[in-house]
Amino acid sequence: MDTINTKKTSRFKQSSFAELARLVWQDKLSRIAVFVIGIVVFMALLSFFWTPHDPFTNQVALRRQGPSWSSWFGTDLVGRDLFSRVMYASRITVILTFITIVAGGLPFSIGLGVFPIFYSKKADFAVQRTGEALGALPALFLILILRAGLRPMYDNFVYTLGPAGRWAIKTGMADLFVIFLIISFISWIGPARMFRAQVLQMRESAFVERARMLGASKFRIVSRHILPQLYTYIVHSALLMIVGVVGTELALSFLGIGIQLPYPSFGGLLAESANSRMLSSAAHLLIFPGLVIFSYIFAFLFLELRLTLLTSSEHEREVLQ
Amino acid sequence: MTLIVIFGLWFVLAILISKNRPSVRRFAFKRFIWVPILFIPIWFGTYSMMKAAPGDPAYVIAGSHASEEVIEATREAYGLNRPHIVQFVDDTWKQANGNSGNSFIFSEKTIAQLAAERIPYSFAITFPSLLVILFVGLTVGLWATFKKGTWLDTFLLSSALFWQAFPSLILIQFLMLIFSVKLGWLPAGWSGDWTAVFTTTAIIPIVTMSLGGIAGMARFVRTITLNVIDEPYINAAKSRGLGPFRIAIRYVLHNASLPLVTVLLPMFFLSFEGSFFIERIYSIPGFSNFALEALFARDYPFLLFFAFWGILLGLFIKWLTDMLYIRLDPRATQ
Repeated sequence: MDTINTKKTSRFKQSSFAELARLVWQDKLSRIAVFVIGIVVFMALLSFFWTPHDPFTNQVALRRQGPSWSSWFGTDLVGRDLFSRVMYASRITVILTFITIVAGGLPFSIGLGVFPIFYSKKADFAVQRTGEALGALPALFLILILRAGLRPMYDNFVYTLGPAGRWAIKTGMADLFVIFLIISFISWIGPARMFRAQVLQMRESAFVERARMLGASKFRIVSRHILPQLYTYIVHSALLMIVGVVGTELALSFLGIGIQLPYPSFGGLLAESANSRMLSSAAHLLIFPGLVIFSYIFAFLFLELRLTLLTSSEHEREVLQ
Repeated sequence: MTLIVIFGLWFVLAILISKNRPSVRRFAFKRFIWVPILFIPIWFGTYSMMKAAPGDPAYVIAGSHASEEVIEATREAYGLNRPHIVQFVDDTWKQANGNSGNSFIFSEKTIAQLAAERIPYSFAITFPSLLVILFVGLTVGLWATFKKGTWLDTFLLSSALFWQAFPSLILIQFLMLIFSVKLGWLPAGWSGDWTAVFTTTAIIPIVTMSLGGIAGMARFVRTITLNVIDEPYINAAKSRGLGPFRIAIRYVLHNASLPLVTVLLPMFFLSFEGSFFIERIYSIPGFSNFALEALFARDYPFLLFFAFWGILLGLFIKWLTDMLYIRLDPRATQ
């Protein structure tokens, strides 16, 4: 009997995220946001198998046409189907979102914010100072400098990889990866600092002390006692991080240093419409990609706001309302 | 020499801020020592990265079609064939003396002259929008706090979210589409020199820059004042019959000023970031636009100038924010 009970409780502990997902799904307004995100993700996944037209074929005779039944969002400057290009662009955005959460800024911030305090004072100090130094510079400034310095070296490196490198360049994955690297390099700073502040408080609490008394290893304390307590913070910073990552990709590709042409990305699509002549003759170039990426960002921000309300206690909810 | 003067002024500022407060002074100088310790590695890293990039400066100066001898001669003339560390020390010395050299793309002017020409434009749009953000953001945020829990509060909060989700590079295009192209009320690009900020030309960039900022500011002000609004002394002030303005300024804002100050300073610095897209789309010949041009053309003297003073300014703002925080709340030194 006893063993079954312990198993049950520990299984409950693991289900913090599942519980959060249930909470979000039960809230009607959050469900709408999840649907909006789902539509963009579906478009991205669909683009791997099917697009209404080839997003790369020029049809100069059909250029700058408004929305119609054959091309739903109209066509761009050289007659490529805008809907297909938006689908392809959302693929880039969704992949970037996904890998940031799985392998980029989020794991970095957890790893650098939570673990060093438990293991070594020196490592903690070094991480703190590095974060402070990087955080003192404006992100875009840092990105531009990094891009100016690293990109040519990175390109050379990719070429030396042989067929794999050529494939990466051909499919635009090399561009995506360099953006991912640059964003991961800076996006961990804020969340890591926040996690650290929380862990510092928690480290002194009774349950950590009891666990240590029972002989739990440091790793077990962090993974079984600290991280489950942090999950609301982790979800919040993940959502805000997604907004930041999508915004940064937009900015970089808009300036022409992110995803390179002819691969469509939202930044690149919006750069095409960015002058008054284009706006007056082909406003659909702005309206459709602009609204898609806006609703994606808005949905994440909205979800973050709803989660703040849902996960706060009764008293906090009164304050937050 | 320039650097020594700047550090001297910094030193004086540190003494002024920590006047009559020994614990603050100790903290101020402890932080001050960290500035060079952080600055030198960052600056060296940035410098090495810029120099290590292929397409070395000699090609930029001589042109990509120059023959090998010309390239070699250019390297010799600009001292580009010296060891890396020697070049680093030399360039650092030049920057520290305020001698940033001539631009490669506008070769008849020095970097400092070019920057002085362009900065008024950037300032002309960032400064008014910061004022708008400060006043409108504070008003909206306080309004939401006072109307806490009503439909007005919910409305203000959700509209703030809406404007926050709008990236400035999309927002300005939508504003141009509606007000310049469709309605024809406002111009669709910058015309004239920086004094055009007093005409209708400046409306779209300033509004674009303000909207997102106002939303962020209002949410922030609401969060920090909500803790204060239920305090007994607010009720006491209300029962004494004080007006809402007096309560807002004297009692609410005064008690919430600590987080506000620490956000305002970096905001001023970061607002130049948003102006990258606004200047580019609205074709304003400001500093951010110039920085991008120079970056793409690999204008090395400009890049060095930009990196050196940008890093130093960043560290200074960081230091100043910490100092103001501690000056306002001396408990934070512990």
